[in-house]
Amino acid sequence: MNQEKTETSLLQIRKVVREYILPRQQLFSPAKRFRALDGVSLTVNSGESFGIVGESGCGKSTLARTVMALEAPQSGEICFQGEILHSLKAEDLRRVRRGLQMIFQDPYGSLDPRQSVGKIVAEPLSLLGEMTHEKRSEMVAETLENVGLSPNDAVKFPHEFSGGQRRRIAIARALITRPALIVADEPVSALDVSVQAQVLNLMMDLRDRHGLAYLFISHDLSIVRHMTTKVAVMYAGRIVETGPTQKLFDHAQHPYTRALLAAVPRPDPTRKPQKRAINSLPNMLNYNLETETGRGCAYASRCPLVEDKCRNSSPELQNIQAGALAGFENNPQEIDHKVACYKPYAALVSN
Amino acid sequence: MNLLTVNNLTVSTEHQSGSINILDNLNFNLERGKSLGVVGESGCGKSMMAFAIMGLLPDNMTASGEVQFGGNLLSLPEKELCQIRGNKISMVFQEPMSALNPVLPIGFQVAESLRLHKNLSLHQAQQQASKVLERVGLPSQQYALSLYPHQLSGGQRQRVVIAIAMACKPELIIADEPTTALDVTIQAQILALIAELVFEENMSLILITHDLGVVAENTDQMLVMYAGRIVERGPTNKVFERLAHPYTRGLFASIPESENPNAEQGLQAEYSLTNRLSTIPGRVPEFWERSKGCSFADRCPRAQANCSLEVPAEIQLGAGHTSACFFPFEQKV
Ligand SMILES: Nc1ncnc2c1ncn2[C@@H]1O[C@H](COP(=O)(O)OP(=O)(O)O)[C@@H](O)[C@H]1O
Ligand SMILES: Nc1ncnc2c1ncn2[C@@H]1O[C@H](COP(=O)(O)OP(=O)(O)O)[C@@H](O)[C@H]1O
Ligand SMILES: [Mg+2]
Ligand SMILES: [Mg+2]
Repeated sequence: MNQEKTETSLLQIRKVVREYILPRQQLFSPAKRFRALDGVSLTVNSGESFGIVGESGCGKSTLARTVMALEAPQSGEICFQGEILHSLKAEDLRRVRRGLQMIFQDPYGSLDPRQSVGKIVAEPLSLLGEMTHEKRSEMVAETLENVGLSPNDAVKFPHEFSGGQRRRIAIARALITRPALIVADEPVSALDVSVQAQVLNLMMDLRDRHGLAYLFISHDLSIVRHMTTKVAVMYAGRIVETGPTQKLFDHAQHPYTRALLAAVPRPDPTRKPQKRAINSLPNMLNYNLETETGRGCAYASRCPLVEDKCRNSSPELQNIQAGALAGFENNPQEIDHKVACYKPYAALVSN
Repeated sequence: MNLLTVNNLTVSTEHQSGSINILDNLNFNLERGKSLGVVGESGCGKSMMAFAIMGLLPDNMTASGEVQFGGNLLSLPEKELCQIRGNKISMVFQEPMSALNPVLPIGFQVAESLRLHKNLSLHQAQQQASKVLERVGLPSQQYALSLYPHQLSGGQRQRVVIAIAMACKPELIIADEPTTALDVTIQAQILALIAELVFEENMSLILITHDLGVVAENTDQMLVMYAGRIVERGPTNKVFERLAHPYTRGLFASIPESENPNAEQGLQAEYSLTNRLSTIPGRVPEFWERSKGCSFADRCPRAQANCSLEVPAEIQLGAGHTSACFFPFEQKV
């Protein structure tokens, strides 16, 4: 189950490091480097929905851009359909790109207001090479219908559409080359729940109909829980916990995952008294990523369970051993559940 | 004792064929020390309601009815309103940068409202400002009064906005989507901070949000607004128990389940691929598109012929719990 079979693994991210050079504070001071991704590895199989969660600034969008080969990693590699993206020549990269599309975080910024919807949606078709005008229009019309818009919408402009419809336009643009994987960066953020539900249903329908895989990025845990079968929790450029979505959410191991889950407001007023416990969440005010990328665990300064060891060396992602820890029956699937913490929850419970 | 009583509050504007109501006959009240949640999709009029209470409506709009807060705020001259705004009623907006002046230090901005309303000297106001900032979690040893907004994170900026809102110890705080732009963890902290301050100073709170979870966990009473009207209101726990108005129920049903009832069944209960969310078809009408009867009729699964002809009156469902619907749901399924 957990073997990374090459036939099924569509996307493999291996130990990717992405650093940004920060502007110098003073003219002659050395330029500082900031690690937005610090050795990220994960595998997405064909037709699978893989979720990425974490607070803003943890590196989710950077991961998306790196997977899309819009940015190159300093080290590590990204392998899509068996080809290593950053070693490809421009020509080959264009070919691979057909199979790999993205829905950007901000549909207002990413849809050019001066272009018609037809033009916007047709843009990735250039990856497919020469094509007649008729064929082009036909594909645009078909794709617009696919996402619940009308072929007549092709002549309209983005400002004529509501927020939810603009997401559909962004989805249509990603869908038109019939990709195998769509990287969706916050595809429903800032939408009302009713509209959000419509867009999420559409994404699920498309997945079922076209066998799409998603790398589904969101800071909303309930949405990720609903949409994905595997998930990785990121903190300060690293994956701190990963596993089957349901397993991970129901048996969260990392104190950060547990804090995130506790912070989600639930539509249930009877939970109110319990909620007051939020006050005892670690104080995250003084959280400053730049100073946190030292030797130890990046979460150490916010962690309620921190000990000396956590500050001195950084825990590796490790399997939660089947049967070894409380709350886990002996099931081989559990090997997929990994956590980077010296004091995972199960260890606390078993003591 | 009611701190705020809103009677027949109507806000209208001129639009092509004539005057149209953006807010239509709102009625509710809020007790001292209590919190009131306001939910509804965007465009339902939540912010307009806040602006109407604060006397901050755009020039092209007029308000009628009563907003009783001591006296009727709608009939106060602007000069007297200025003494109430920021002093007795404060507002916290969604986007902290829009409420902060980017070229003034945070200490100055907090002190400014104290100088304006409390007649403090610059020195006194600065000292007081430093106390208020410490109270919202920004102690001056770490966060100098001379810092500028851009030197702070989003959550920290929202704390400064809350400090400004709190500085004069208002009786009522209106928070319009105060955490929408923030991460859940920061959201939880900001909401906990607001709740704590409101409790300690015995203030009242109107918390506007599109997040039913936020309302459920942070308010005593709630209003559900749709297309400029209140369609359901009551004690928060009663509203959630019953979800009487089809709109309230529709909103609730479209939230992805955050907790899995079958948690302990483990992997067998893996989500099926076609686990669809329930949705509300269509969208909120613009104020000039609203139909004659119930504005929700064309999206409503329970609508009958008379729904689109007649506006349903608020009916009592229980103590303080009302719904404006001809066919409210009985009990939660
Ligand atoms: N082009 C860039 N130059 C410098 N720093 C960047 C750049 N892009 C992102 N970062 C930094 O990398 C970190 C991760 O950012 P991002 O991937 O956008 O996070 P997320 O999408 O999870 O909110 C942030 O601290 C951000 O400031
Ligand atoms: N300055 C304005 N002039 C005219 N109409 C406006 C103005 N601002 C908002 N509206 C309209 O008023 C209605 C209510 O908007 P608003 O109170 O902002 O909704 P909400 O805060 O619930 O999202 C909407 O139909 C909106 O289009
Ligand atoms: Mg991002
Ligand atoms: Mg608003």
